[in-house]
Amino acid sequence: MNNLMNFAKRSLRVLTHLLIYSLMLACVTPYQPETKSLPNKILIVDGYITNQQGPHQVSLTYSADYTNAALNLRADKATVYVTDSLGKRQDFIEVSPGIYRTPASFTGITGQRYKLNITLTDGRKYESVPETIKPAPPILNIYDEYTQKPIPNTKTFDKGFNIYLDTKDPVTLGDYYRWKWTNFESIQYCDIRSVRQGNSYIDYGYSCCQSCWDIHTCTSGNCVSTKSDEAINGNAISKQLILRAPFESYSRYYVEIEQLSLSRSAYTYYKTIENLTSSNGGIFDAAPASVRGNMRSLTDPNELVFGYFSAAGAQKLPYVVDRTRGQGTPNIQPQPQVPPGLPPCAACVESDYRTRIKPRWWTF
Amino acid sequence: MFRNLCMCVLLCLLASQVQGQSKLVHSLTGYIRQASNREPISGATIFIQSSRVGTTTGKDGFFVIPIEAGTYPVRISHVGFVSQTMTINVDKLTLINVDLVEDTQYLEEVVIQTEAPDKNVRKVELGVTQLSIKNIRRIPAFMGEVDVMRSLLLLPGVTSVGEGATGINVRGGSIDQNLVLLDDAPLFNTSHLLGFFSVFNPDVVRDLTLHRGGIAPAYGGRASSVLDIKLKEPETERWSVYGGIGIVSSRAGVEGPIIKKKLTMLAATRLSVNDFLFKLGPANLNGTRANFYDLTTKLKWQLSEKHTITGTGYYGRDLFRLPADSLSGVEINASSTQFDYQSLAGTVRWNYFINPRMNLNTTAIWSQYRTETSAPDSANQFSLVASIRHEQIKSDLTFAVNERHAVQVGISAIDYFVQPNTLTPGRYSNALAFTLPTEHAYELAAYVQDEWKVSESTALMAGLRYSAFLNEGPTTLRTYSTELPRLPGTAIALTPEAAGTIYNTYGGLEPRLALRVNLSEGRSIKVGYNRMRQYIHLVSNTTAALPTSRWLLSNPNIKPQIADQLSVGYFANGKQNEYEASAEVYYKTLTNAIDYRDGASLQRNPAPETDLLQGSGQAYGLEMLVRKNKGAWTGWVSYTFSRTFLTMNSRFPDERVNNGLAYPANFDKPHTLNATATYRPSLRFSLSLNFTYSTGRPTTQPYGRARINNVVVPIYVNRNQERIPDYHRLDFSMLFEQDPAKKRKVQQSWNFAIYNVYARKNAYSVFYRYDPRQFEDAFKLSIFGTIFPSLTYNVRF
Repeated sequence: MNNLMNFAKRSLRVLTHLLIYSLMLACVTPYQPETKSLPNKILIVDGYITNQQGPHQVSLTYSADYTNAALNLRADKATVYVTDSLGKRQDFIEVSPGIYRTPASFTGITGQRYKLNITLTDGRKYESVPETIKPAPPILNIYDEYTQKPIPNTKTFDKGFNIYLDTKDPVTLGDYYRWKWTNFESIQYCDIRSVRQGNSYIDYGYSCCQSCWDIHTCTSGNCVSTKSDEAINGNAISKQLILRAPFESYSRYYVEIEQLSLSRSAYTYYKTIENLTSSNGGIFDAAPASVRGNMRSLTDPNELVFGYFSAAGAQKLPYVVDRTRGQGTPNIQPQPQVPPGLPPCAACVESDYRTRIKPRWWTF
Repeated sequence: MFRNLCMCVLLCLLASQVQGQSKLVHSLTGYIRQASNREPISGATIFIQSSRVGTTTGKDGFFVIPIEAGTYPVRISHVGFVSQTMTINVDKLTLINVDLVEDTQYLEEVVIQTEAPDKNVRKVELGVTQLSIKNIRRIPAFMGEVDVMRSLLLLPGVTSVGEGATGINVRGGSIDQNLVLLDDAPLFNTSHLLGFFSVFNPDVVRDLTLHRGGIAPAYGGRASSVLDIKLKEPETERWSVYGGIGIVSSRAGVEGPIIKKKLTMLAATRLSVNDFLFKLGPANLNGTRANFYDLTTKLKWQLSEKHTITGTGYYGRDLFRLPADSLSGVEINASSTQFDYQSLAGTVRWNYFINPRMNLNTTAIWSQYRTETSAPDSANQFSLVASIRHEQIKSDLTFAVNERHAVQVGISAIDYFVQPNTLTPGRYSNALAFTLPTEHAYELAAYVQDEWKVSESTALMAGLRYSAFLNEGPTTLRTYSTELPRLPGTAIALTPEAAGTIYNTYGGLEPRLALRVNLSEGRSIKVGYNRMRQYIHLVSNTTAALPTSRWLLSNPNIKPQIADQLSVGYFANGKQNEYEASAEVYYKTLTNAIDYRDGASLQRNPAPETDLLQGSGQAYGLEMLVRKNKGAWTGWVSYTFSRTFLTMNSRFPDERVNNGLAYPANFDKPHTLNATATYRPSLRFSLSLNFTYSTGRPTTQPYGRARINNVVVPIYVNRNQERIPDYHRLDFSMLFEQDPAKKRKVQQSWNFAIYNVYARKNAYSVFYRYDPRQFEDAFKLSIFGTIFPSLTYNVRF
């Protein structure tokens, strides 16, 4: 129901904006207030484990100023592990600075309680409030619908496939959902270099030395998608929008969709994040809230630490969009040229955004 | 009459004969009448400037001046009318008939405001401002819509959180702390189109009075102010029809006598016609609809000299439809959403004029506000309805005991009924029905007031009001442990209360005092104190309230808000009340002020107290006003310094805001300057200018950013520590009218206005957008950030 209310509220907000914009009353201009800084950098923890096959990930970063130029520094070389209620310990291994992963073999057990433990290089210790893995209801159906709509003030269209999901909520009250998606795109060029030619630049692409995939996740807009069963308890959740796959080529679009079953406090946390990222300081937006999460410092109880470590039941399914069903021509992205001569290959470097590991359900 | 004339003529002839021996004396006689209705004017002055002799007209408008033959400059004048000077050649008996035209500048003073021009100095109350609709009409209007609420923003001590925000903030009070009365009926939503325009039809409003300090004990129930809007009396003589066409809305009205001088009525309506603007817009706006309409009616029945019955009715509705593809969110599972807000209010008032010293007023009031949000899709079809109802009966008796004491007593009983959100799913919908428990309560009040002329220079208005609030079942009473913070599901006991049981009462005295001491002619000092109790609250954790914001009654878990205000003012008038100046200081404390927990979600919460915080508030300020009332140029300049702070402290860190320290309220704007001037060289033309400046409202700026799930999340620390840029704006308008003196079948007028003359891009909000491709991090959104010319046409038959 909160969703409905939020939806109503957001619709109203959009409506105000529409009223303003359509009457051509509004304009947006850059405005630079004095940048405010926190006295100390705050540790930010973001991660979760599920009852599905790993690897599961925790990332540790520090807060930065709220400017585009500032960087969130990563907290590297920390000791990170989870313990369950039986005292069993599972280490997270640092795969790149600030990113810690369990082995693929690690799977959380439904009904078991887990707690995250962190020790930073300077000796500061943190732990999370323990969370119990709840079973996740199965995803019943995933499907897509092609839509296109004009982009205002241009002659182009926003073309894409809305991917929806259906599921069934269990009869018990207190189920909280979060959906995540990860798109893997097989890439040809692992390095693109711009070379100046006269007044313009030419992009040269260097082929990958290995099979390589770009990883896309949601990074802008309303990326945190959560729902509570308060309003729909025991009923179907239908046509839940998960993502919009762009119509940029005729090739198949591979995405892994994960449905997570959260605890109430994790839901509140992600909901707050969702509100914070979608709110823009307008007069119809809620007063900004501070996000705390379930982490606390063991060394200094007064130290602020942000973030959440969640243990959730999950179901992950692949979905492939057949993009030949799109209307008209795709909005093709510019492709780099092949450099002259016999260019060297470029290595596929493992990161948050690129991987050599073949996605689990990749068949083509 | 004819006999009178003959007598006069005879007398004159006699006089002329008597004096005729030396010089031949004739007479100048005639009738002075009102130009508009040909009624005779009594007491008009006829003055012969050269010989400095004169007289005044009698009851029938007749005058006679014995005078020698010759040519004279004659001046005919009367208060409230435009003077006429003419040259008259007198030989024998000269009869002239002169029609004087009403001076509308004077009309405001003399006819519309029945009080004396120096009332601001002489009356006992302070912090009271009255604006007549004629004044409001001359204020440059946004998009040609004469706006009663917006005009209030030009008064000292009145602010809002932004252009287009609903409601007003008076002396540091939130918008629900204003009791807005339309002919005694309280309205729960005062704006159309989410706050852009007010619900009051300017065609039928007579005047408005804002009481913000020294509030009389007859008023109660809200903590900050009373905005009393009076509809005009229907015309008693003849029928008239009027209308207007504007960019936003078109208006039509009719008024007149059903039975002459016995039963009169008026009805006026407004209808918005702005849908076409969406059709001109981009394709994705085509499905958007935003419309409003309202109807205001009044019926007056003069039963006898002593009994009058007046009925007032108001109905207003806003209807929006929003297609889903103009929404870019993941939560939207419906193809369109519809919003529907309705206000319905009515009063019946019986005025019994017992004798010249006693008057009894009894009023029955009914007011309801209802909001509905719905989606028509089958799988997610729902309709969400909330409503609030106010039923009241009150009686006031005024009694002039003697020259020195005027006593007023009264009683009032209100029955509140609040239905918070109720969701009804469609037949094939997945949504679950739910109903939040209804709230039911009574607010009872009795008061007594004595206006006592202590001496020639000193007057005291002492009043005492007692109000009581009674919560009535059925309900389930939640009890919370004092050892734990209040969170959803932390109630330690749930006590069911049966229907009809009074399970909780609040109440207390509300002293009201005002003292005036005249220092000299046209100068006075006033002191006022008042306590106000408020049992009904509009809760919304957004900066500006939405039409769907929830109304909540006090209950054992939500204490009533109590405001105590002390104010002192100095008032001075000069040049025969042509100029008035005032300075007022006030200090106000608010007990049980309401604010919200971080991330509160109030709309659906069955235990809203778990999202609310109650603390204390403090407001103080200085208001200065200089006003010119007469002449071709009129207007005022006001400057206000005001601060408002809230403090939410608790034993539990969870229940603190800003670590329990004081922080500025959303509408805290320290400096405000307003200036408005009207130039009216003739009856047919007027020009107005209006300038406003205010400090930007507080906002909360992120102090840092976190990267969570690959998304940048702002980190906020303390509430309302920064401000958006300052606001200023100049408006201009011209009103062309036809000479009201000339009899016409059709009276027309044109109003041309320019809003925001120098096209300042005032900040509406400041927001942050994280985009690595851009250099800028912060942006300001300006609405009305350009020049808005508008033209309105009005016609009256």
